[in-house]
Amino acid sequence: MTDVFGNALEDLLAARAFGAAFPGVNVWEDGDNAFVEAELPGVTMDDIEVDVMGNQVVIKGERNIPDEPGGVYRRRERPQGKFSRRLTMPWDIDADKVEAMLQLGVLTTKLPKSEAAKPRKVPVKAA
Amino acid sequence: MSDTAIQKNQSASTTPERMEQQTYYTPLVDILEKDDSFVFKADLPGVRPEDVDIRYENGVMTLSAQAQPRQSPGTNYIWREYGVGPFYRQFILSVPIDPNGINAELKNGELTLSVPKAESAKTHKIPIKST
Repeated sequence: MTDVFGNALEDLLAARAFGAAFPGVNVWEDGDNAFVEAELPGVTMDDIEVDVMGNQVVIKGERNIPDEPGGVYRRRERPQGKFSRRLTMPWDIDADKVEAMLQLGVLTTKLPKSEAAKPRKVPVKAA
Repeated sequence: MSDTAIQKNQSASTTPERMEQQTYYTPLVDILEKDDSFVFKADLPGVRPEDVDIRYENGVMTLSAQAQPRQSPGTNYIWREYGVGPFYRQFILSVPIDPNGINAELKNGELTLSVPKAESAKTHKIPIKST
């Protein structure tokens, strides 16, 4: 429970969520592609840039929370300002085929592995 | 710039709140007080409008929201910094409000709640007469 007029314990609990780098990312793979997901509420595609080079992907941008006129902030927890995350993948990324989608404040980036990095089946010859 | 080198089978854990055997996440909020209302803004990434539930009872406003799972259960994660699940947070309002006037809007994972104060709690400017 949060008292609108301040509660030190609640502040500590809320601060915990952003003790790490912002934005937080989840990464998974399906063999041919890696996917990077980041929670970016209140951000539009115009505010985000995704750059790929070799085996690195950089997600950067800016979140602006405009000041509302005519009031006093009782609590300000939501992070704002410039952000940037650089992720180094264990394989090269096919930069031409990268796709990024922003939906409900969640950014999902599809990073196809370069041909050389894809898993392949090695035919076994019978001797 | 923060750098993260992804390696296989490595995972950074998130520390969600545990309640009633289920995992809940605390949404981050900004609360603005105006003369006649409060404005709550909460970050609810991955939440659709139909998944939000807002209740007000006896001076307590409860915000709960369901973030639908975005990956299938068998997903092969190689790095995790956050979990996805229901959001939950309660606010004690020490100022009487008008619950019928609460207005809620969700856009790009950002919830805006306008909560008008009850007539008795609004700021009244007293005109001074000169004699």
